Parts: sequence; C-alpha cells; structure tokens
Amino acid sequence: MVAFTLTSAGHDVVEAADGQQGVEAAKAGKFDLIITDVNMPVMNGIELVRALRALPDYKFIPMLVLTTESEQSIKQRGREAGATGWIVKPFSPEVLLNTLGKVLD
Amino acid sequence: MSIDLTRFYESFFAESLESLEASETGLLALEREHATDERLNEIFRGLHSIKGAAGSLGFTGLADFTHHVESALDRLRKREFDTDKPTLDILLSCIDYSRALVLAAKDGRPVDGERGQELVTALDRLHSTLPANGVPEPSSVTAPVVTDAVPGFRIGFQPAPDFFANGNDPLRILKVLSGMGHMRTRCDATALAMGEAFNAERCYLAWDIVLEGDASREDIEEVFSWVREDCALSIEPLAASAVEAPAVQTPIPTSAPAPNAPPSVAVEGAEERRRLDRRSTDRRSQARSAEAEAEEFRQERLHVSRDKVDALINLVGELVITKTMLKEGLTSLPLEVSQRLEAVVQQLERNTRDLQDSVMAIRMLPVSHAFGRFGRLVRDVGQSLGKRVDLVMTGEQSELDKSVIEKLVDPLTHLVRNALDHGIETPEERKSLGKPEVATLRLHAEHKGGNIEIVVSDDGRGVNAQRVAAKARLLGLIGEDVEVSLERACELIFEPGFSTAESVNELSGRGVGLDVVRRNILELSGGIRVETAPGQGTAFVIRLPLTLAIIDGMTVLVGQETYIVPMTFIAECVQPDPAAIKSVAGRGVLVELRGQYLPLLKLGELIGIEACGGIDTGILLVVEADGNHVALLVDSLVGQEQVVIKSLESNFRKVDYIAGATILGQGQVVLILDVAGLVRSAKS
Repeated sequence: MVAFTLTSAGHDVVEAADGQQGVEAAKAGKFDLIITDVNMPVMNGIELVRALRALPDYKFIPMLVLTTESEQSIKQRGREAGATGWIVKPFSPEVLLNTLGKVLD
Repeated sequence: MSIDLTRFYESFFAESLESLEASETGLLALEREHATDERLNEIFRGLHSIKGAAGSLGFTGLADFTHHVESALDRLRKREFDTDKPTLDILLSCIDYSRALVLAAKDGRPVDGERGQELVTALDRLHSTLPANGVPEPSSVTAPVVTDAVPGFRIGFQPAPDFFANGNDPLRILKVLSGMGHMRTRCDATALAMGEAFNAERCYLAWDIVLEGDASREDIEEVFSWVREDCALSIEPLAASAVEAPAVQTPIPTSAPAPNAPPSVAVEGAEERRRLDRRSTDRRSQARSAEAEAEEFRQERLHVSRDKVDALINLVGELVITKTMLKEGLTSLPLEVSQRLEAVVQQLERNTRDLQDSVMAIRMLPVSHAFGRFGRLVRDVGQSLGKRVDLVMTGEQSELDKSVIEKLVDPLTHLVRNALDHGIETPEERKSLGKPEVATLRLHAEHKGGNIEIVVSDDGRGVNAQRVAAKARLLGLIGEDVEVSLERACELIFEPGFSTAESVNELSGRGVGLDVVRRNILELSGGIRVETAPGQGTAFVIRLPLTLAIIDGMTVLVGQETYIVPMTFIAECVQPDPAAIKSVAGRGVLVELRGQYLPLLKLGELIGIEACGGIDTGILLVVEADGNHVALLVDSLVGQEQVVIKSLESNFRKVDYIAGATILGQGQVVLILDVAGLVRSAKS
C-alpha cells in the first residue's frame, strides 16, 4: 500500500524485500526518502536505518519507520538509530501523504 | 506510464485484514478496560486506513461501508457516546461485515447486502441517541474564554545542535507550520558560529514563531512529534498583548534560506502541496479505470526466496539432461522397442519444455523494473545540466530474467547518463539548429527470437567521427594519419579510457567508460552496437539472451573433443572454399565470404588440439558478437541441443575462450565456447 500510494502521488518508488536488499538498493540509487517497516527478515528496520545513516550519502536523508502503537520502545530505538520519524500503523494514504509533507521539500 | 493496480491488490487485502484484526482486538479490550484515547485512536485508525486504501483502489462498496463505521468510531473517539455492550456488539458486527467485504473483493465470495444496510442503520442510531445521553456539544466546552484574544500560539523552537543528524530539518517544520495559519517568525542567530568554528552539519539557529489561526495545540505538537527530544520547545496560547511580537517579522515561506540550511529548501509550501494533490487525484482517477480492466485478477501471490526458485531451475535443468539421455539411449534399443517408446519420449520432451518455460517464467520480470528508475534520473540530471529532456519508454512490459535485469541496471544507467551528458545539446544549441528545444530520450525493449533488444536512443548531436578520431590519436589507439569512418568511430568509443567529453564531470566521467558497459553486456552473453547519424541522434542497441541458465547450443567436434557454441552467436555455417582463404600480412588469415573478408580462427589451434582436420575437411561457423563477424573453423557439426550452463568459474576457474560447462545427454562433460571472447581476440 505504501508503494501504491507513493507511486500514485507521482513519486518514484523502489521496493526492497528485506533490510539487506534495502541497503543494497539504497547504495545503488539516490533517494530522497527511505521508508521502512520495523519487522523485516534478514535485517530489521532499525538496523537498516542505522546502516544507512552511516553512509555519507544518507547522512541527512529523511528515514521513516513504520511501527504499531504497541511498539513504543521501538520509536526510541529508531530515534537512536537515526530515524527521522515514524508513522503508526495502520494508517491511511492521506496520513502517509501528509507525513511526506513533513520530510520532503 | 500507467500504473498496474493489480499488483497492489494482494498487499491491500492482507493489510486490510490485519487492520481489521487490530481494530477488533481494540474493541474487545474495551469490554474489559476503560477506554483510553490511545485505544480509541487505534480502533479508529484501522478502519480509516482501509477506507482510504479501498477508495484509491476502487473497491467502492468497502470504502462506503467503512466510511460509515469510521464516522461512528470518530464520534466514539470524541466520547459522544459510551462503549456499552450493545454498542460494542454493533461495532464488532461491523468489523465482521468489513472483513466479509474484503474477502468478497478478494475471491468473489458473496456478501449479504441487506446485512450491510442493517448495520449502517444501527450505526446511525448510535449517533442519534447522543443528545439524549446529555453529552454536551464539544464547541460549548472549547469556546474561547478571552474573546478579544486572537486565536493562535506563540512557539519557541530551539533545535539541538545535532538536529540534522536524524534527517530532520527545521525549515521543513516551519514550512508545515506556515500551512496551518498566518505565521510570523523571528530567527535567533546569536549562537551562529563564525569562521573555522562554523560546522555546516550543525544547527545554530532558534526561532520565535507566532502562529495565528485555529490550529489546535495538538496539531502543533503533532508537527514537532518527531523532534521533541531534539529541541527546546514551548507552545503558549497567544495573549492579546503578545500578538505584537516578534519584533523582526520574517514571513515564511522564506525567500532566503537560513545560512546553514541546505540550499534548495525555499519552496512555496502551500503551492507545492496543491500541485501534489492535483497530481495524485489525476493519477487516482486514471488508476480507477485501469482497475475495471483488471477485474479478473483474483490470484494468490506467494513470496518465495530466490534460493528456492534457483534450486527449482537447477532441477529442471537436470531433468532436461535426463530427458536427453533417455532419448539418446533409445537409439541403442531394438527397433520394435524404440518405436513403442518414441511417442512417450516425445510427450516427455514436450512436457519438459513446458515445465522449463513455466519455471523460467517465475524469474521473469518486466523490464520496467530496470526502466522505472530513469524517470527521476533524467529529470534530475537534465535539470542540473540545464537540458530539457522528455523520457519516452516503450515496450517496458517485455519480460526478462530477474538476474539479467539486475545486471542491466548499471550499463543502462551509464548509457542514459551518457546520452544526457554528451548526446543531447543544450536548449539554446538545439534551437539554433532548428530542433525542438525539448530533447527526446527513448528507452525501448522488444523481444526478438530468443533475445531481447533494449535500445537507448536520443535525438542529440550524434557521434562525431572527427572528434572521436582526434581523441583516438591522442590516446594512441590509431595512427596519426588514419582516416576514421563513422562505423570505425562507433567501435572506437568502446575502447578503454575513451571519452570525448572536454571536461570530466561528475556524471559520465567517473572513470567508467563505454568499455565497461560493453564488458557488462558481454558478461551477460549479449552484445551492444551503436547506430548514429550526425546531428540527428545516437542509439545504443543492446541484445541480450532472455535467460542465462539454459541455452540452445550447437555441438561441434574438433579432433576428439566436443564443444558447444551458443546458437545466438551463430550467423551461418558454410563449407569453406580453400580458394577463398587469404593470408594478409599483419592481419592473419582471412576468409572471403560474398565479397567480405572475415578473420579466420582455427579452433583446434586456439585450444591446442593437434589431431584436428584442416581447412579442406572442416566446416566454418560464422559467429557474430558486437557486430563483428568471425569465421570459426571446426571439424564437424554434431547437432543442436539445449544445455544447462554450469559456471566454470565457481567450480574450477576462469579459462580463456570458455564461457562455462555443461553435461550432455550421454553424460559427457563438455565446454561451452565464449564466442564474444573469441571474436575480441580475433580483432586484436
């Protein structure tokens, strides 16, 4: 749904199946925003954010973490890893697009 | 490019069911515990997200019904009615019905329309009982106490020095705030470090903001929700006296960005958002009509790891070999037995081929996966170079093996950048040449036989033979007084270290030239050639096999040794005419074929087999790679066979002129020739 909403709004979206692939995709391209779920196989969202934040190209790129209300501690860990912000699941396309206004110029 | 909605269906169904489950869990919890705001929000969000997504995807029934449930939950959230048992019963039934609607959309299960009507009526009745319950209208509580004060807040915002480290940006926050009402700001730059102490990665500024309008404190807090721990923040309601401040009034959107802000932030926030909105509604209405076409799509999707698919492909490969063995074995049986088995083996052959095709199809992806990224690239690079470029993609639905697509991205990126950088002229130059100011860059994919052809073309200045020649002389690739034809120029640009760009810039001149592009393509058993017309444009044509795992091969004999030549490289087979063989000093042996001279390679000599036949007894395979033809002398042709490529590098080591190995029907291990490598060696 995230990819669909973003594509519909005219953004170019590259999807990755897990954190490891996410890092590779990020290295291969140049992105204005990273959106990741917390729970992913191979490398979770927090680790992904930490790995990307360490790359010079992604030092200041906004990264959003998708989380659920029950994962309050995740927000804290995400922040420490370098996440810009979070979106609480489930959310509607409008919420997602409004949130983009906070992280894209 | 239209959006294929169907690929979002499966995730929509799965996510909707999850959301419903979350809301349901929340509702059930209300039976046991007090309703907290957080809990009610959680329940609300589940339905809200389904409503939005269902609307975008065109599931109108689901969108309508969830809209009713959502508005009831919204009222519940505002405590307009109580969460007593009957209410919860109705809401839980609504969850059940929503779930039925999702499943109906998913696999066409019937839904009871009357039940939906009943529930909507029940929900409406929940609303209408409110005033009777004596719940006051919310507006009467929140009515402003001080009536002459302007509604709004004064916000003190001081980001921490490392505010940028998480990818946050104060300007974006100010931009969002400016969209919420009339805003005036004063920037406090007293902490700004000067000279060497200044660190562009740190934030030295603080803001004093007056925001007039009816945005609530919650709205404002929401804007700062991600950065609460990264800044000092104060939000005070505006008192009548405070409205005069701040002293220095800087309207946002800013025309001049703060000194330490990234350069490109000054955007008219509201305008930008409006544009985005308009675009997204356009896309959405487009998407809906596409949905109607794709209504038949009701397919389950599986996420399978690549290893499993690869293992399957490997097994099918082995099966193909076993089938070939069986077919071979048939010939040694007595005639009456083999005749009876023949039909069965033919059936097996058809089935294995179908099986092989289906398994390969699992790995096939549309080329749009590789093309997709270029929209952005062309826009950004074009902008930074001051060139106006239209990107036109055609045939992007053609399918190609996933691993080929992955390896194709780099070379394609390079070609696209190359076209933007060198091929396409500036708008002024184009105008003076009488061309349209906006250049066209085309990406095209098309199946041709067992291959796919991908073309990257532009309508720019084309390859300039003179400039290529000058550069080649400089590099010592050609002699001082050698004339260079356009065809020769098109070959020269693929030489290592070649670039006619006057200055190496960050885009095309990364030390990676077209030679690397060609090498990448050759590694995929493909070829690349250039078609160009001066002043009219350049096209790079890439030809690739659809898959790397199984190829059609020609089995050839040299002495006692068997080799396989991939069919895609073979142009023709000819009986050599000894009179057509010419030795040319410095260029080795050439064969004349219909007026053309081709380099002759004797396979026996190349790989050191002495007991092989000569030119008078052998046969010539005319092979083609990179647009160059070479005649390859072998002793005889054995037959055509499908073979599974096994990597020699991963099992043994890289060997010159050998692309891999395979096992033939008889169980014999044979080597597959690297035709591209052979052709290259013949040229040098």
